[in-house]
Amino acid sequence: MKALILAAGKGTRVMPLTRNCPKPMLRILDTPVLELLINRLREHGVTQIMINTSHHAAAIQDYFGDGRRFGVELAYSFEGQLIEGELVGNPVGSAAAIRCINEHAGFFDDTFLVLCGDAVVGIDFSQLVEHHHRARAIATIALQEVAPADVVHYGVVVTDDDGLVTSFQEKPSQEEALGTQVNTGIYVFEPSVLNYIPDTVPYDLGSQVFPDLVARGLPVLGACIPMIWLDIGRLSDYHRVCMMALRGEVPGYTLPGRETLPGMRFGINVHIYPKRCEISGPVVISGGAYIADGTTLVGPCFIGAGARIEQGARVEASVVMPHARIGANAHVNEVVTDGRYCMLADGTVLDLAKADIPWVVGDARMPRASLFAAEQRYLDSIG
Amino acid sequence: MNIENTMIGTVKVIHPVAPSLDASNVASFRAQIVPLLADSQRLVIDLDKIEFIDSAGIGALISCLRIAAEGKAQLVLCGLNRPVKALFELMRMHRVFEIHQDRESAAGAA
Repeated sequence: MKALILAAGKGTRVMPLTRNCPKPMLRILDTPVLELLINRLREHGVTQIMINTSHHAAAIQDYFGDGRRFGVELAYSFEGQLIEGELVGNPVGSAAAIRCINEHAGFFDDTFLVLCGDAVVGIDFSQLVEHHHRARAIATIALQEVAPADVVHYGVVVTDDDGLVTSFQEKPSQEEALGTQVNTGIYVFEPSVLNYIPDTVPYDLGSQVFPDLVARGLPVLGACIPMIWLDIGRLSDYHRVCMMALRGEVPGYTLPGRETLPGMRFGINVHIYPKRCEISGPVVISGGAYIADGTTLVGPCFIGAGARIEQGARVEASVVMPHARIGANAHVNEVVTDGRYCMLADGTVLDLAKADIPWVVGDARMPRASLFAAEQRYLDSIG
Repeated sequence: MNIENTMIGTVKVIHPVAPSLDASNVASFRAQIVPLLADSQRLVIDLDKIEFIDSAGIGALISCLRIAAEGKAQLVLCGLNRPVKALFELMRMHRVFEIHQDRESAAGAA
C-alpha cells in the first residue's frame, strides 16, 4: 500500500524546538518522529511513501534519502521555490498536497494512507484499512478518545451509530464540544477523493475536504480502534513523550546505547565514574558525553551526544540535547534544553543567551575560559 | 525605571514597574533601590511586573541582598512570574532569597 506523510508544517507551536528543523524531525531522544512513523508503516507493509516538505525541507530529504536505509521507497514533493539560492517554503495545504502528487504521475491509484508527520503512533494500519473497506467509505479518519478538558486543543469529530461522521468542530470549548473523539491526522482514502479536491491553493483536508464530503452525503468513517497516539502539538507534549520513551512506554521505540548498569544505558566513550555520581534510572547517556564526578542524575533523563554535565550539577526528569552543557551546581528539573533555550515541562521558554547565563546552561563547545570568571562569581554568590 | 515605594505596616515594599530587569535598566534600578535599603528592618521587592530577568538583574538583586544584610535588614522577594521563577530555580537563587507569593505574605512573614 502507498502512503503520504504530511511534513510541510512550520511547527510554530513547538518553537523554539523547530527553529532549525521541521517538526517531523524532532527527535524522540535520538530518533526523529518521522523515522518512527516510517518504521511503523513498513511493519504493516506500507513501503511506497511520499513525503511533502516545505520548511527546512532539506533536513528531511538529507536524513531519509530514497528510504533504502529504512527499508522503504521514498520520494518527496517540495512545496516552495529556490529563490536567490535559498529554499523558500510555501505549503499548499494537506489536500492540495495530495492533488499535486497525483497530478505529477498518478501516484494514488488504490486505497492509500495519509498521516501527519508530527505524532508518535502505535496503530494497526491493516485493521484501520479493513474498517475503511467494510464501511465502503471514501475516507476514514482514525479517532482517539480524549479527556473532556483536552478537546480545546483538537478537532472533534462527531459520528452516528454506524461510525459515519456527521459533523466536525475545530478546537471547541469544553462546553460547546459535541463529543470527545478527536481527529488524529491519520486517514485512509479512496483515490476517488481526488474528485473533491479542487484546483485551489491552499486547500486543507481537515477544514475543507472532510466537511465537504460529509455535506455531500458521502461516507466518511470515524474509526475508533485501539491505538497509541502521542501528538506533539505543544512543547509540554515533547517533554512528556521523551519521558515516556525513557520509561519504555513509546511503542516501537528502542532506547539507544547499551544497558551497562541497571536502568542506565550508555553510548560509547562516555566519561563517567558511576560510583562518584548519584544516578537513579532510567538514564540514557549518549556517546561522547561527559558526566563530572559529584553530579546527580535522577531519571527519566537523557543526556545527548557530546553533552557535558559539570561537577555538582543535578539533572532530573530532563532532556539535555547533544552538546548542551549544564554548569557546575546548576539544577535542571523537568526541562528540555539544547544549550540555547531551556524549555520547561509546562511550556515556559527561557532564552538562555538573552538571560546571559552561559555558565549555568549553555553550549559545551563554548571556550571554557570565557565561562570561568562568571561561573566563579556565581558559585561564590550562592555559597 | 519607575519604582514605587509603599509601606505595609513597618515593612517597606519596593515595586519596580518595568517589564524587565536586565542590563538595560539595572543601573537605574540600583541607584534608586540602594538608598531605600538603609532605613528599614524588613524590605520586600515585588517583582510582579517583571517578565524577564537576566544575569545582570539577578546580580543587582544579590548585591541589594548583601547591602541589606550589612545593615541588618531582611530583604525578601515576591510576585515572581513564571519565567523569572524558572531562571531563579535554574540558578538556585531560590535558595539564596526568601521568596513569597505576594507582598502581603512577604510583609507578614517576618
